[in-house]
Amino acid sequence: MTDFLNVDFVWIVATGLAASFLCSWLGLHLVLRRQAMMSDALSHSVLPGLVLVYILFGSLNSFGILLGATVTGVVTALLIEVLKRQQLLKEDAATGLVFTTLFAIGVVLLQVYAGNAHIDTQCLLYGELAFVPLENLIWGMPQSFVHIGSLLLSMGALLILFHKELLLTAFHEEMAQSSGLPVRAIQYGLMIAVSAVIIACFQALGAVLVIAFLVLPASFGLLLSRDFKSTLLWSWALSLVCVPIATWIAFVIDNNIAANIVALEFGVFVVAFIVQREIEKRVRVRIH
Amino acid sequence: MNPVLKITNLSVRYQSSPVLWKINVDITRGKIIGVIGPNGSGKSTLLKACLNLVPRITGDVRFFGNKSFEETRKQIAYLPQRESIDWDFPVRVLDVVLMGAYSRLGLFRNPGATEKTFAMECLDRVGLKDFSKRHISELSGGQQQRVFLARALMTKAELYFLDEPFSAVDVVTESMILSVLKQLRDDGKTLLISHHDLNSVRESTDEVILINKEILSFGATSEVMSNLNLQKAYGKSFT
Amino acid sequence: MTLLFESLLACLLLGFTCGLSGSFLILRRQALAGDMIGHSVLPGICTAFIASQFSLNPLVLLAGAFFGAIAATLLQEYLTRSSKIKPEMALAINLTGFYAIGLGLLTWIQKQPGVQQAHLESYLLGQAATLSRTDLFSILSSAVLCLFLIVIFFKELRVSVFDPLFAKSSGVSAAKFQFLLSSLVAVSVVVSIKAVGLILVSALLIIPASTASLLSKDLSTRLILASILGALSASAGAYISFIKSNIPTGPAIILVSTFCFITAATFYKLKQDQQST
Repeated sequence: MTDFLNVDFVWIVATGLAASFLCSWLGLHLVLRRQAMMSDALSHSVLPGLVLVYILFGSLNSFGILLGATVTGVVTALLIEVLKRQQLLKEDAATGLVFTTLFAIGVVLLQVYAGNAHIDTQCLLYGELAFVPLENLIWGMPQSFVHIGSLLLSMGALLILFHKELLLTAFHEEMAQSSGLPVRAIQYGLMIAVSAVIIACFQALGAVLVIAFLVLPASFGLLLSRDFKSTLLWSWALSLVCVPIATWIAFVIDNNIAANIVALEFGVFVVAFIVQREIEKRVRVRIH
Repeated sequence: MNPVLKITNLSVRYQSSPVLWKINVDITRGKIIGVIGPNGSGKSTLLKACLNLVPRITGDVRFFGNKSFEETRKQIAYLPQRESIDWDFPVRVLDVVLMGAYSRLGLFRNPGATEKTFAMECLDRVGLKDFSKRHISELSGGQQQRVFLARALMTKAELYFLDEPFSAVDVVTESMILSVLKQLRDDGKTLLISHHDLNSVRESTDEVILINKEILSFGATSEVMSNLNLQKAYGKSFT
Repeated sequence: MTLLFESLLACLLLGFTCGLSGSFLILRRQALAGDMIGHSVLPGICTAFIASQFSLNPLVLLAGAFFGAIAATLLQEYLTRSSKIKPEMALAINLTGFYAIGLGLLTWIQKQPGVQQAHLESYLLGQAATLSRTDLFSILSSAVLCLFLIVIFFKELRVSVFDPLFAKSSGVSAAKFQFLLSSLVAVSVVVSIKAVGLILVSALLIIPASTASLLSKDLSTRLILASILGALSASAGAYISFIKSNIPTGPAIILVSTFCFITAATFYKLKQDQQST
């Protein structure tokens, strides 16, 4: 047991928790705007932006994350908006078309420039938290932790600063527009923020599992609570419990850590959902 | 005379709050009956509950003298609210009208020449004979509503449930729908219509059910539409 | 028959099937459900592989994939019964939840000594060259099944998607036919993943159907166009990935069908401009 409580384990749990806190905060805003599936779209469409960044810089640095995120977030959201505005497609089909196409372009770029870019599709699809302690150290801390941690601090500050604007545009877009809020700028800003988080997390979590980090804890929070603050706290509580336990299980059975975290959170969510449905049913019966 | 529609002790709720509470109504043949009440009073829900489209907590609905909905489905027509429809859906006007024949046809049989001729007749009655090949998105709101009415006619039903047929339609459509409905009534059919416009209720209905979760008043239109009853339902004066 | 011919034929048929079922999917505004189902087959495949003691029989893996897809469809339906969980939230949750379980199982399989892995990774991005004769037959039978069911239930499927309340009031069980459509989508996804990959299979459902939606306002014409476009772009994409071996089949197919979409959209817009002037 004490074998696991070494430095590696601590760094992995710390990175997993930082990613969880960051993702569920941003993800809650996404879910409240009924754009949960944008997490799916962006997590796939970051690929060409990412490959571009690797071709340009050879590795991932803070500037690269920002550049790749801006390009991806803006291009994805803009293409979907054009297809919708021109009345070519409905939102769901437009989203599906845009992100699969961008992902396909990314895969082709990756295959053609494979020599120059130090990423492969495997890494993108899986992600591996276990490699975090093996990464280059920045100020004595693993690279992923530094990236995710600094994003958590800066993004957290932005989310607090624009909290009421984000909520108003999510709740009632027309009202927000009529009260003079730059609705589109806020929307695009959120898309860039989500892309940045996805890029920062992809090495540790992989493109598909980062969706769960964005949506799962936020949905769990919404299941249990009705206001923003307690929803966020519940979603953080879920991560706080699940990340260390799942990491420990993954160590014991020698498995993918991120996959274990998501699988555990998924299980907890489904159980919570069933329990809540049953309680609601009982309450209803009692009314009559 | 046996009632065409007999609703006994019907209650419905969404989530945990009741929408309809202990509704009891007997409706006799050959009348146009308006269902009125404020927003959220359960007008649509009453129609849907009769057609088993929303789950009931308690209550029973019987048709044509003690028969169940399933037994008499073919004699019943329903016109849903227009808002729930995707007007970009790839169907033409005639296709929509033909859907009215589906309960007669059942599985594995497609509408043939007889149905198509009758569908054209139904379209003619609502003044849209020349529009049969158009796509539904190319019609105005009022014309779309008339297509739905033609589909209801296509069912050749005895009992009609119409959910807000007069909502957001032009003057031509309103008078056309009204004359079709009166024609149906004069042929001995029975029509149940939910309404939100109190002014047109007076000229379009014979009897009125005034509800707000429960039945506040039911009877001849002129009686029910007295100021006192409306005040009870809407909570304000209507002079 | 040569390998190339067989693979192209398989892609042609699965493009056809996906075009058909995808057309209904986008009409139901559930285009992204295809992506959810695509990811949810992974735990099914892995469980079947483990349960059959690492059998390489494609039919076993197909059956596993189908069970994964159906389980995810049912859970999706169950989760959206609560008003707190919106459909798009449930999609995202199911998509990653199932994928995570599948990934855990896949990692475990890869660490078993001496297990032949049945190209399990090629399920992620797809490789038409890995298709076997059995795969070809299952693709053929699913295409026939899809076509048959859509032809005989055409009028019920149409009214159930267009106006579910009216369908129900006239004795057509909208819920049952909606479930039939979901099952058809599941079948299309399951037979396609080996060639197209689970990440991109949703594109084959969405893109040809979207292109067809620009070309016709009649449902049956749309279905015919979508299935033809699906068949053509799937086989063309597969051919490209054969001659350029570093491009996986899935991405090649997607790029061809997006090219078709852009062409159709351009013509659509030009025609619209002409009409308005």
